[in-house]
Amino acid sequence: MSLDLILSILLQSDVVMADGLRQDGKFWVVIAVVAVVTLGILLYLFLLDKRVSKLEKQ
Amino acid sequence: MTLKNTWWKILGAILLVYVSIMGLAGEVPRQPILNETIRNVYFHVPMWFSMMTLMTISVWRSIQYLRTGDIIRDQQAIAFASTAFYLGILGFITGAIWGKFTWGSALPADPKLIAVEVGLLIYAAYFILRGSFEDEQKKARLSAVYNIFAFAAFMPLVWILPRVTDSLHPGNGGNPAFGKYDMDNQMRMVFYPAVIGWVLVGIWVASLKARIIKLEYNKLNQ
Repeated sequence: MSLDLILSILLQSDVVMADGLRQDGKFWVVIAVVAVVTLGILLYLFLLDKRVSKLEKQ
Repeated sequence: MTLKNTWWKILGAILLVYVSIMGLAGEVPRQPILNETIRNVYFHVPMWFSMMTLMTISVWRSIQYLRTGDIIRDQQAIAFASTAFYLGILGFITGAIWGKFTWGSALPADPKLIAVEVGLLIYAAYFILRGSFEDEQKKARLSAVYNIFAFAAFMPLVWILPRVTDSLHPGNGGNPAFGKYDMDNQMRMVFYPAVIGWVLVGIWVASLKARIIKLEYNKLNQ
């Protein structure tokens, strides 16, 4: 192992990350909500697209 | 809408839903100062990639307009440029939020930021220029020429200038963008889909805008 690698491993173990959040903080609920909102906006875009297509046919 | 010409819209949508989940749930490298904000790479950076793509399509449409005189090309050029501008504003705001918590300042005097500010102002002048003409053909022709100049000024400003000097952004000041120390393979599995997804959805929104502009134009000229 190079000195660089050892140093970076030593330094990185101190870095604060949201470790517990994903395990027991019901974080998956938030991810589900974000996914639903994203999906919802994209679905709306599809509906708008359809409406424009309808207007174009007239 | 047939499947033949909507598959890329569906692909873009699926990619963005995937990114919204994996961007939050996926593993990221532990980096000091950055901490969890490294995830912003999935959400902030694709804004710029999508913007650049739309600007390239816009300038291509302007060239096509100048060559053919087809007004639909001009309508597409303005639709793509304005959508690109909007994505640029979103990129700017998200960057300011990110910078506030990592660089310590929302708007540091960074060469890349200044370049983008100037670049977006050049594009703002494009929209003002279009608004100042009564004659449809003259407006289309002059703004097409200006769009080419705006594009030719924007790209070196944002890509080359910050690399010549030093910038807080990774990949500037001589380093290759997103080197091996910034992003691991697991991050790339989310970052690349994010870029492709936002490019596709950006094109989708811009083309939708172009179709609405065309409808409005046809209604006015009935």
